[in-house]
Amino acid sequence: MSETTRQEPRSLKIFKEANSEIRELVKNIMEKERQEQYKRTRTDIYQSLLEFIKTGTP
Amino acid sequence: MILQKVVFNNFRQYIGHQEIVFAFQKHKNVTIIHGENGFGKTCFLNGLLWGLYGKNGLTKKFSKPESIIPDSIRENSKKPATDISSVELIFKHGDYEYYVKRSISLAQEKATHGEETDLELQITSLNSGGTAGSEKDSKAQKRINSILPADLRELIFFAGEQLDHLAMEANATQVRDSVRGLLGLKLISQAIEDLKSPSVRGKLKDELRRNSDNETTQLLEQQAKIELAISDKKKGLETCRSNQNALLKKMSDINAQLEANREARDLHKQRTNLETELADKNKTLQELEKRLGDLLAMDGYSLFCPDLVERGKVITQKLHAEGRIPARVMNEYIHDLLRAEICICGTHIPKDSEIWKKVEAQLTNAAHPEFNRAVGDLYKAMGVIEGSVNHTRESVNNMISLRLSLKEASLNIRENLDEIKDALEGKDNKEIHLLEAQREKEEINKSELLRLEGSLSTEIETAENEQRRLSVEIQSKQQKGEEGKKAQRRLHRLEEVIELLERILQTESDDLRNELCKEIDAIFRRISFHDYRLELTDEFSMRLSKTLPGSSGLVKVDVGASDGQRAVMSLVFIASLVALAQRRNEIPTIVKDLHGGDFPIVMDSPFAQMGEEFTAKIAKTVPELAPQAIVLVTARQYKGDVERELGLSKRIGKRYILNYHAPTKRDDASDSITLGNKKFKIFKKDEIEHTQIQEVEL
Repeated sequence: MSETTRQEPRSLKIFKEANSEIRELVKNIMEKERQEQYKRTRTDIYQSLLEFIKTGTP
Repeated sequence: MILQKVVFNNFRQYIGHQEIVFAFQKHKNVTIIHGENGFGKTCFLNGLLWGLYGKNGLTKKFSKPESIIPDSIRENSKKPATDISSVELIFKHGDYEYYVKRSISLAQEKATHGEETDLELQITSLNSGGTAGSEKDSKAQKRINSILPADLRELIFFAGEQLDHLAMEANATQVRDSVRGLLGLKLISQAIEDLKSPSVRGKLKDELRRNSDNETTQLLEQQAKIELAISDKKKGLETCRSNQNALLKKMSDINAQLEANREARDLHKQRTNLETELADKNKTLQELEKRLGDLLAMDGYSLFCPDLVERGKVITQKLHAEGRIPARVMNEYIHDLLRAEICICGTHIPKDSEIWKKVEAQLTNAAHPEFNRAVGDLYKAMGVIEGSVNHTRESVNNMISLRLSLKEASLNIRENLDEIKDALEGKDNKEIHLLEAQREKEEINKSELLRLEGSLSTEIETAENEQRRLSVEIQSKQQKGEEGKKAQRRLHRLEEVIELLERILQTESDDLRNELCKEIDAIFRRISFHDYRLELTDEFSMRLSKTLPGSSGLVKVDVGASDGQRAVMSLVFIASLVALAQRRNEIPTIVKDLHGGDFPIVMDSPFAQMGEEFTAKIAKTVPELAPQAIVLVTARQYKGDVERELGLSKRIGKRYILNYHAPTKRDDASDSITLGNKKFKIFKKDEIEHTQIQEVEL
């Protein structure tokens, strides 16, 4: 196993530096993308992302 | 994805039921399929692609993609609904074994013109615990795409003659996307793209526009115009880059024709060598000019300093002689005396008395504690500048003389190239005249495209900066109404999310690029030509360089790659990516559930474009390029270096020959092949064109 295995990803540090509201939004948006990543059209995912940002940022 | 078996049932020229079991053991991981040009190698590669991705997965070279059913069946069909073509694949990926079957009937083919990609698709998975799952049609396609996304298929299943494109600078974006795609970062880039889309960011902006004051509305409209302009320019840039690729391909075809022409061959070869030499010189010149620029920016000032340093020396010497530098008395000492009301001789001097005031007056002659340090720094700085003057002058002179000699050498090469062009045009040969005219035209087009690429890139950068500035301005506007405030808040959050995701993507991509560079270096060293190095730049373009002695030690200089070198570079990149995918779970990432996996490399005529100098080294490396290698090769490409090196590797686990039955064959195709000491007949005259796969053991 390489040396890098024991390290924390550098991107995690960037993520942790963001405020908690943004972190939560990013986490949930990524989860939505993951669930929908092989959708045939992107219309549905656009809609759910839009709604999510609206409710996530009241 | 380790391929175990493929079964063709009436897939184009593979009539009837035909199957291949691939070699997939660790120490026997190479499958060789011998086939002459026109005997069905490309059809075989496309059979695998059709099985996995349907019509949209086929290569451009595959003619009539809407007709999968063999012509002989189509023409004599009595029951189109039961005349079926199918491809079945069995492969392993991670802990699962997959069985995929795609089929199409003649009736479906006629009704849909072969358009539907998942018309009759089924995938069954079996995990190591023996649990089976099954999915059909679009869900099955999604499952396949989750293992190897359709847009990355050409990395794994590729034709040799198209292999060089990844190493072209214009394809850096494709290289970057391949890295992100195969190594799991597509999810982040897709999320960013989705959030930026008119359906998400655009709608939030509409909301703000509807609820804000005139000034903000104007800014939003201005920004929308810029966004549109950026999008147009990006499309223009994409077209420009794909035109560059098409042009390189055309040039390579013209060059191949000139090389094939007996009267032009020698002169053209000379020209090719001179052009490579000129490209090297130009790259060296560019590097040199950059270094000269850097040197002048850093130390160039010192060249204007000798007089100043001399004047400084005179002044400091005078001050020194007068005893004013360095300072002998520190003002801190005088302050102490004044505070204690004593003279330097120890006599009491009351505050504000005449003598006390005389001592106070000495403060103007005493120095601050930092003064002597500053004097020391001044001496040192003058010494450094004095030393730097000579070194800078010498380096600048060396570089200028090197630049002059490079320019002279380039001029000589250009003169030689003109002479070769004149000599070629002077030949009494119409084909040469035509090819030379085409070549000249393409050279002009190439310069125009390069200019266009440069200006578009600059325009995009400027517009993006302006867009960012407007975003900040829009966010800073105070909205009066509640709705306006809410809309602004949402948009602001969205921009923050996008920015964070972009930073995460950039960091993860950089980390992957660094790891990939290590793989590229390790693989390239095994194949490497001369003292060349291959690396992936920050912009994800492949950079071939060599180390040359320069005025201040060894210097790395970029070199222009030939068609053959580009093919090798592309292959090294693919192999490195496959190697990195294998150990993906060792690389720290923020994206959860990324395991990577094993992938094969399926190569149709990989040695076609590499040239003799690389063939042996590549052949020797094939078994190590990926956990599984499937090589389709003609007798001519196989004979000699490839046969020897692959034989020595002892890694060939399976071997097949493609027996071609048809009324005629291509002139350059042999009708038999000798493998080891056995001779196999591979062509048979037959009214119905078809290919039979035959397993052979040596």
